[in-house]
Amino acid sequence: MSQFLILITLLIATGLLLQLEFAFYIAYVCAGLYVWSRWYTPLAMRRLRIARRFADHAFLGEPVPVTLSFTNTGWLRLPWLQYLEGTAVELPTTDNTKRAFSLSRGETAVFTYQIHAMKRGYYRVGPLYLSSSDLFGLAQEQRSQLPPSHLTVYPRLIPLSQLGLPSRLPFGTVASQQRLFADPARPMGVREFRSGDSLRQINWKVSAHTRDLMVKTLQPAISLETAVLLNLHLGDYQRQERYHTIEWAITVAASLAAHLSQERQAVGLLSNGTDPLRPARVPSSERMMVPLTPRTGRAHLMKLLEQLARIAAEDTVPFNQWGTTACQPLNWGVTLLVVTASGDEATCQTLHRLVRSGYNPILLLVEPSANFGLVRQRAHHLGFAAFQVIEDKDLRVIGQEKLK
Amino acid sequence: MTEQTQETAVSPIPLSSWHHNVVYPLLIAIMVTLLAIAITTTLQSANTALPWRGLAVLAFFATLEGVYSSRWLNSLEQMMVGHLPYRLAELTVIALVVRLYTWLALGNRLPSLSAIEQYLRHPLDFFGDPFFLISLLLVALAWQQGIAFGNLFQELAISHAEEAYVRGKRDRWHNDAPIHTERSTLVANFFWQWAWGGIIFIICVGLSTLALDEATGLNLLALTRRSLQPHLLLALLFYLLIGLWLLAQARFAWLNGRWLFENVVPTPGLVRHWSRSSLWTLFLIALFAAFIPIGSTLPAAQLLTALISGILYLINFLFYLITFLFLALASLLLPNLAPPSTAETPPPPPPPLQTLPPPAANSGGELLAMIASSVLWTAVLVGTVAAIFFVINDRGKQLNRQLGRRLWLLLTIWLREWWGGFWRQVSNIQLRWPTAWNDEGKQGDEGEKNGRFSRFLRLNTLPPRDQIRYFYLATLKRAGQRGVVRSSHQTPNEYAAHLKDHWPDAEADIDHLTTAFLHAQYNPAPIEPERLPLHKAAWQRLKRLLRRQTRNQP
Repeated sequence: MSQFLILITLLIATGLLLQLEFAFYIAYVCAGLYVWSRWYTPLAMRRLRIARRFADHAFLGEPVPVTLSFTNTGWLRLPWLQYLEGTAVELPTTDNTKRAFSLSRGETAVFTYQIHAMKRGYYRVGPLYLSSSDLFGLAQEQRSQLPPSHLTVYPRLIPLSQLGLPSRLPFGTVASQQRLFADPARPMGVREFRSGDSLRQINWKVSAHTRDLMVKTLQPAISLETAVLLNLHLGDYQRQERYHTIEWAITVAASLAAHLSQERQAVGLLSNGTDPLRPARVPSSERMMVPLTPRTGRAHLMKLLEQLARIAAEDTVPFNQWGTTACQPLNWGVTLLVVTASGDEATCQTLHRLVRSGYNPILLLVEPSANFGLVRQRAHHLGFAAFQVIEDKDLRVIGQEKLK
Repeated sequence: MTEQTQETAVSPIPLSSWHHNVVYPLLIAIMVTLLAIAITTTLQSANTALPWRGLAVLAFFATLEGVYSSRWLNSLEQMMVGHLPYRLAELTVIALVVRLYTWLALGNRLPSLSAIEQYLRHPLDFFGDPFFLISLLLVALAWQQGIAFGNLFQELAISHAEEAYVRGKRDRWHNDAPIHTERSTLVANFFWQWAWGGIIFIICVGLSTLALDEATGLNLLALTRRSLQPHLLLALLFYLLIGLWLLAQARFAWLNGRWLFENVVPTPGLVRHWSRSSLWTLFLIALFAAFIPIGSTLPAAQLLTALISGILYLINFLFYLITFLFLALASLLLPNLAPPSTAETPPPPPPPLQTLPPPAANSGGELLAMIASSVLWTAVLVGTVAAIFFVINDRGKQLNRQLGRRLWLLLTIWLREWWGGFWRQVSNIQLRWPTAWNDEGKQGDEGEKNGRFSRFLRLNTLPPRDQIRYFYLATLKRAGQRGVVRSSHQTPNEYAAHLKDHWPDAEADIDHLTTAFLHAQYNPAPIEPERLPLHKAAWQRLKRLLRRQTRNQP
């Protein structure tokens, strides 16, 4: 405040010109106040300790309490402090996130507000903007900020029955036509012993009964892994209902993954959607999420759900180009649950290529289509199954009510 | 050790009504009064004869009036009250109070009837009193400062409109937005008003330490310096601290307004801490500053003084140089500009003496002056009464009709009495005049004055009843001057007998005049105008007789 400096100058000049000693005292008081204000405010701001505490992962609809604590470690009172906590617009808050208060020496002020996780996503909480100054307005306002933290809101999980899928999809374990693997839990019969047979395969009871060495024959079977292929290329979705359909596709993918994990089957996730944690400056095709290979366990499911919480649809690589190459890291015979918008000719051909590559794809369409019968017929001819999983409006309403 | 505090969400809180209603007005009044004390002390040291210091009390109340009237006028209920008429009425009341104060302070009493008569004749004497004028100026300035600071803090505070607009987010319309208050400018305005007041304060204190040596007369070079009066130093310190504390409060009001519009919730304790912290900060810094050596003793200050002196000397030198060059250039360009010698031109002939004609009798001018002063005083009186009523009524102090009627009755009685007294005094003057005329001759100031009075009283314009009263009372007065004084217990008839004992020749006229007076005084029947010359003739005969006797007396 330059006005105060002018006043001090005027006081000193008056004191000198009129030879008034007491004018100097007044000038000293004014100068002291000015120096104090200029010096103390930045110092007090530097001695302020701020912390933001909250659970950084939440399920949809959960309230997330965020606690902000301010500690004055200085040796004098901080006259006033104003904070403004900036949160993402998608996260409504119930309490005020802007406050002004003062802090005495060593005092800690704690403020709590609640965030409502209303939508799947990866959101920033913060930054926290701080401003403070002196009591007389002599020093400029000191501003600083606490960097933002992030909150991950998991996608909605729906039971398979509500998705409109058959209760027993051929997930995971399928009968194999090639007798490479014999399942000891599935005995089929006995046969005569041949050279090379393992002694452990001999059925001793039958051999004793027939007085000839007989070996067990087992039903050939293979326990395969499952991977969810989620197509999040923006161009593959119809423009009209794009936002809701994409969210629905993610919900379907998450629900399938949760179901499979609950069934203790290995599940993986592949998508051409982008991950906001990847560097933002590279092209969108390079920001695609890292594939998660099939694994079992709850920890892996949470990792998968976290990935699905963050994932975003963009114009990356179309499914027709990406689908076949995306499955290269997967083992042979993996069941692929392909979640995409429509079952057009190109999509079916892509899936047919996957069939021929030794995978077991299942097409799950999330966009409503009048010609789904044709798609199903085409899929049947090409050697894979197709289902339509359309978002139920009632389900959406139920889901929203649950969120509330 | 850390303290955990959990504060709940609260709506934006304005400052408490205690601050607005009591603390701010009182502090503003004290601050302005302290400045007034500095000015009055300076005036007192310049002129010790007049009681300047008492004006500080008036300044205090005038400032309070300014602050509170600002708050009152800015309230929503008083939207229809005209500010300018109200302020004029307020100023009139303040002027009346100051006038009363100056009378009381100077003479310790209200003006006498003769002084009032003088004011009535010469209104400028009433308004042109320098003590009154300076006092009024000082008190009016304090009042104006009160208004300015009152308005300023009123504007700084969060208004109902702002609060309603911010709180009613859903229902608000763009057109409902309150007028934006530039609070930062208001704070700057307060700062500068306070700062300039401080500079004036210091200058006044500095001037009060100067003394003029009476032996050398009005010689500025002979100024001596007196010691500083401790109460002034204390006043200056308090002025500074109060101003800075109010500056902190203004700053808080500014932030409070900002927080309201930014939807920032201030915690309730902030207001309390703000006031307390600012007070402690000021106190500690003031205490610390007291231990610092005085500035002029520091080498830096001495250097600065030398530097300023050098700069002033340089400016002075440059001014002389420029003036010299300019004159030299002018003399080159205009060589014949030198004034002709006065010796060559003969002195102008003396102006012919004109004998002024004798002043004409200015009875018309006197009458006009009287009318003008009457009109002026009537206007002043009506204006003052109207102002008092305006100020009182608009403050919500509605007078009931009964009380109004009583007051009106009292006023009319008082006015009647005053008018009667005035006319009695005028009659006395009228009666005194012939004696003065005869005793001191027809020349001189007294004669002129009496002549003026005789012209002032137009006997023929009085009603017949008053004329008869006048004849009788004039005779009574004249007889009293001749030694035949009427006692208070004597009735007119008893006094007539007493008169007849002294002047037996005038028995008939005495009886005639007494009867006429008794009729005029006590009989409600109308007086016959045709009989008036008879009464007048009797009075004139008596007058001549009494005058003749006076001349015959040794």
